[in-house]
Amino acid sequence: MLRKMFNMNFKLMLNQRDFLLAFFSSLLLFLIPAIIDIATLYGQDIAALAPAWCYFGVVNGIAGSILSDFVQMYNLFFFPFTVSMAFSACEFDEKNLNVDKFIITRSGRAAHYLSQALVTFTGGFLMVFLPSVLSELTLMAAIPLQSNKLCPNYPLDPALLLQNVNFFQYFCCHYPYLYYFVYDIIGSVIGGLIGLLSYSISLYFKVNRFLVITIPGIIYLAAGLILDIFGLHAMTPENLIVPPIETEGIKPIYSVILIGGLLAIDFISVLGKIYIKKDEI
Amino acid sequence: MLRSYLKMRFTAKESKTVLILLLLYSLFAYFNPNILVLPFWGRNPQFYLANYAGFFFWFAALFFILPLFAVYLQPNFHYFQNISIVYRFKNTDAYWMRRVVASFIESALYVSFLYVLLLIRAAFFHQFFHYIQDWSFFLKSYFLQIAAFTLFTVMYIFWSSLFRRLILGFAVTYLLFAYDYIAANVGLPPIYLLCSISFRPEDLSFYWPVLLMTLSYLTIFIIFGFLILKKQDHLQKAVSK
Repeated sequence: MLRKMFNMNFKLMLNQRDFLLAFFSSLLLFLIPAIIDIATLYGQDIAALAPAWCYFGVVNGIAGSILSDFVQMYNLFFFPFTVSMAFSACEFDEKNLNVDKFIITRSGRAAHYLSQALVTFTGGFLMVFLPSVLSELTLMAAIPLQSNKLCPNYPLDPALLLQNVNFFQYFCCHYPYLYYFVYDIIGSVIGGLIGLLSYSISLYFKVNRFLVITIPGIIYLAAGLILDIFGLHAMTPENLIVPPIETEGIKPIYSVILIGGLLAIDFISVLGKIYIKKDEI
Repeated sequence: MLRSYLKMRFTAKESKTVLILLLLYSLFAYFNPNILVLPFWGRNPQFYLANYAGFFFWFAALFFILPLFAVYLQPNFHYFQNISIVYRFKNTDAYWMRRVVASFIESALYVSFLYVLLLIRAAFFHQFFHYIQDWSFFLKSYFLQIAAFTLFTVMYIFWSSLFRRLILGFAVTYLLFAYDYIAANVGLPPIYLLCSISFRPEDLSFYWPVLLMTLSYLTIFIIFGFLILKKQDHLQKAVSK
């Protein structure tokens, strides 16, 4: 039953206007700057090109690509809202239309809430993962994967790219494509968990649809501002979803705490709704 | 009707939550005033300007004050999108004008509350006289900010009505206000919308153009509001909220 419900909710998500709008906006925000970057580089001598990974959006500011500026802005402003727009308001909508009772009587509470939670997570994950991976693949298709290094510091100084990478350094140096792919997954997992946080809010609080979607985003923005004010730049959520290229002092434990905290809240909320807070009738 | 609306607005849980969050945000600097340096626009700030920047400059305005303002506006949408309220008006023009007036009052209240927090903090650190000395700038920016927040509200209502989704209305309005920050980072030309909230003493030379621009946008969106409301099916809107 869980699988059937998952498929049904997934199809529902793919047909939703909110999901499509947020997804295509994210896709355009990643793809258009990537294409502009490729057009700018077109015709340049191959010796003047850095390897494709140096132009990825997450390599903020070092390569001076337009994509990196857009990705930075996306992570700062749009990321928490788009991931919540994917499918987080599903339970709110069903409750509003009074159809949740009919679904629960046929599917059971566990299958109903678990399938919604899984689809919400998947929606948030795909919202970040697909645009970032597609933009990277576009760059990899157009720019050589390895550059002809005639001079060690030209066109980019590798020391600049590695200055703040104080963990997984070997991995970053020798397998950069895999390294950035892992970070795509980390960012997407955090996106999925933020979407799930929105869903958890809709399970417990009687707030409107707008607040269900925006509360985690507002917390994300406010947390960034407050941590910045206290000089804790390395702990701001927007710095933890990208590789530590430009920000000093980022430690893996911060990402672990963020992911672990979100996971615990989401897990407890969904299980609590299934086994403790039975308030549908 | 406006009186009953304002009564509801002050008792709404969104208003109380926003009030508490703003108070907590304001409290941070009481324990460590040095944190006000970061949201400031330059280096070595004077306390009274850093105190002002802590509420109105780019970082604070975009990451805290405007998102909270959007939450604070939710009772406005609850009330005015209620179908029984819509049908109490004789025509859509009267309905829209009442919404604009309510938006103006709400914006004025919100900005005034921010100024109260700012002045209390200044008085706590014995810096109040700076605001009296520079009263002309703060009075001008106060009126400009009321106009800017009213514009934010009217744009938010307009885009939400157009897309029939509050979240999309917020996204478009917030994006327009965040555009100047994004443009400064990406290298695009500015549109000076955020400037009307994050107004600085060095911007005084173009105060009147910015005010005029804000009021012009406001007028344009009020006119667009009239046009779009006439074509709208309010019953359908109430169902598909």
